[in-house]
Amino acid sequence: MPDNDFEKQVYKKTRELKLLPSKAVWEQVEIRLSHKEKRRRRIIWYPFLLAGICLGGYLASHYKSVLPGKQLQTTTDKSYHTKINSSIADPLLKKTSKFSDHSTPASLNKDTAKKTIQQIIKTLPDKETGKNIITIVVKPEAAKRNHSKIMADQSSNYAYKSIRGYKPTVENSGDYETRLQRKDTAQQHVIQQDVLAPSYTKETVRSLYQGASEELVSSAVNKIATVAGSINTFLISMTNSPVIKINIKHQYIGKGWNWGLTFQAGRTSLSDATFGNLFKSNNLFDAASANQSSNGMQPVSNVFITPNSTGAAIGFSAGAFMKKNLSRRFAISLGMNYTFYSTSTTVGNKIDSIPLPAGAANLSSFNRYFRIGSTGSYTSKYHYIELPFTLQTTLTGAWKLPLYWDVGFSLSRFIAGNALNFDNNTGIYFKDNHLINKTQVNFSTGFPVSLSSRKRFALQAGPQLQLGINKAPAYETATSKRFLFLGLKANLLHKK
Amino acid sequence: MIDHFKLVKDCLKGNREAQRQLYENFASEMLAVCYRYTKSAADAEDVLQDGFIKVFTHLRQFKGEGEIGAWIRRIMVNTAINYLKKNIRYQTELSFTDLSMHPVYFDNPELHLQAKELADLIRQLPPGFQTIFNLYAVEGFTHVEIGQMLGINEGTSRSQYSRARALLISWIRNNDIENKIESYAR
Repeated sequence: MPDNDFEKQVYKKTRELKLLPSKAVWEQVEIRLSHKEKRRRRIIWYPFLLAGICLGGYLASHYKSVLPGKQLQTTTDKSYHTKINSSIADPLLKKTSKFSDHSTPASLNKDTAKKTIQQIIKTLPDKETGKNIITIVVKPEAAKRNHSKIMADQSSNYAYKSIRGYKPTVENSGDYETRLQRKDTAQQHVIQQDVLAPSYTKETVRSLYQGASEELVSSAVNKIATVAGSINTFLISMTNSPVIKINIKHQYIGKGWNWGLTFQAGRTSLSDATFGNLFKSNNLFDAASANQSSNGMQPVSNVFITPNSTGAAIGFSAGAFMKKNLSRRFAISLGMNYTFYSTSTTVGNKIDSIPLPAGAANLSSFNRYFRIGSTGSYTSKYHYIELPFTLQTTLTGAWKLPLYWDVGFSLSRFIAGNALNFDNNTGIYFKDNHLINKTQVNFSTGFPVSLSSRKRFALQAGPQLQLGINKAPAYETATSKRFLFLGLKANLLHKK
Repeated sequence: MIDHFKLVKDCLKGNREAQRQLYENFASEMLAVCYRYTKSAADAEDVLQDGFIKVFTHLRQFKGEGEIGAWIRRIMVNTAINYLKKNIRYQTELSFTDLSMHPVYFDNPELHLQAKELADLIRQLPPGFQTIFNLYAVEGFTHVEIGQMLGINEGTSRSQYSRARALLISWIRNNDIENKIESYAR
């Protein structure tokens, strides 16, 4: 602190000074604080988004890593092989070795089955994905004779199902006779169509008996009647064995997560809740009625001024998504979209200043005042960020243009807008985004058709319907007023 | 008597009414601070606005040690200095060099000015002089602290202050003479 008198006097004098700032300063401070708070609130969503992306990434990598064909080709973990082989071969082949007409030594059957399965999995093409469904078929008469024994041990077969990527089934259930017969017929049909070249057969058989003597290999070759295969189905038929067929069917279930772009465009409206009155004209958000209802009383309709009806207007959505096939029939997709909704309203003349409605939350957020009337039209716009989740079911995969059924939910976050609200006490329209529900949950459904499915890209397009599960207005008494979208949706999927 | 501690607590909860009350309690005092550092009322209000945004966003850093008014004042001063540094209009004249020579007075004249008149005279100083004079004579910072705040030598701050002081005293004297002449004339 300066010691001199002059500085002391200056210090004292300047501290006395007070100046009154203009009102605009606080208004600006308030606006900037509101923006900061909104931004902070938006940041709260980021961890969820990040968690979603991480989860998606984890699922993608997880499912990729457990693809059976690929894993068996690359892994060197002997214990894993042993686990798979023993659980495939042991319970069944121990049983089959007890069959009375079993002319092949049990040990050979067991080794053959192990090596056959190993070899077949190794021969799967590199880029194959999906599940290997292993079916081991025993002779019908053998199964019949040992019916009681097989049934007693049936519970042990469930062990197969616990091995990820494998779904072996043994044809020894209660209606085994019928099923075996049907299975045999189907497999014979496949064999006739896809019999491999004799050289391939010999090589395959030889590789099954690696380390065994040449005599044993020759014996085995004679015992194996047919080795047939195609990309999807491998069959081995052995003579003189209760194991007549080992069928490993490679079922395609997609290739992990694929990404794509989505776009939908159509008409949006604020509608009453039910599907029965889609795109029915409705009145705007009635902020005043919300205030009136604070005492639990609903406003009497003939006391208040009724707003003009709102009409449908343009709506669209664009974004990206990730899709994964769960099976041949089902697929799921997750994504992120920018969504634009709009509705149109007939309004009267614009007015500069009016008494603020009681529902006014914030002075600075009020603008665009209109009287009720029919001199002009106003378009209320809503901007959202949307996180959709969709389950797609294939309805008619065999058609020339396969038809699908999409059903799902989406979570939307309001980011900006200029929607009008109506005060039915004063009969004026005003804008206040505080009266809009910031978070929307939507139900969506659609029936896309696969228009093109090329090697790298697939295009699906079809009608799409989306209905808000919660109301667009944030206050309690506003009846219904849910967003409704009807339009066309197109998905362009990039395949790996 | 306003309980500032409670007011701060309410502000921290995001209570807009409490924020408005805190603003109204200190706005006039803080505008006077901003007024002395700037050359126009609009600039002063800009600084005030920026300053209060910082106050509300960093209010958690106020530990309750000392008065909230002093804490806000310090934020206003820092905001004003940053504003001067960023604003091109001030940058050209905020060079702390010995460009202009003025006679140095070591006397301590009596101040017969009103607070507003004194503030207006301070604002007429060149920006470099004005800032250093405000920081030293009004805010009570040492020349070492001023040097650190403005990124200049302690000596430069000292010499700039001496010149600012001399210039201001000469203006105050002239102002006194003019006032005397006016009173004689009446």
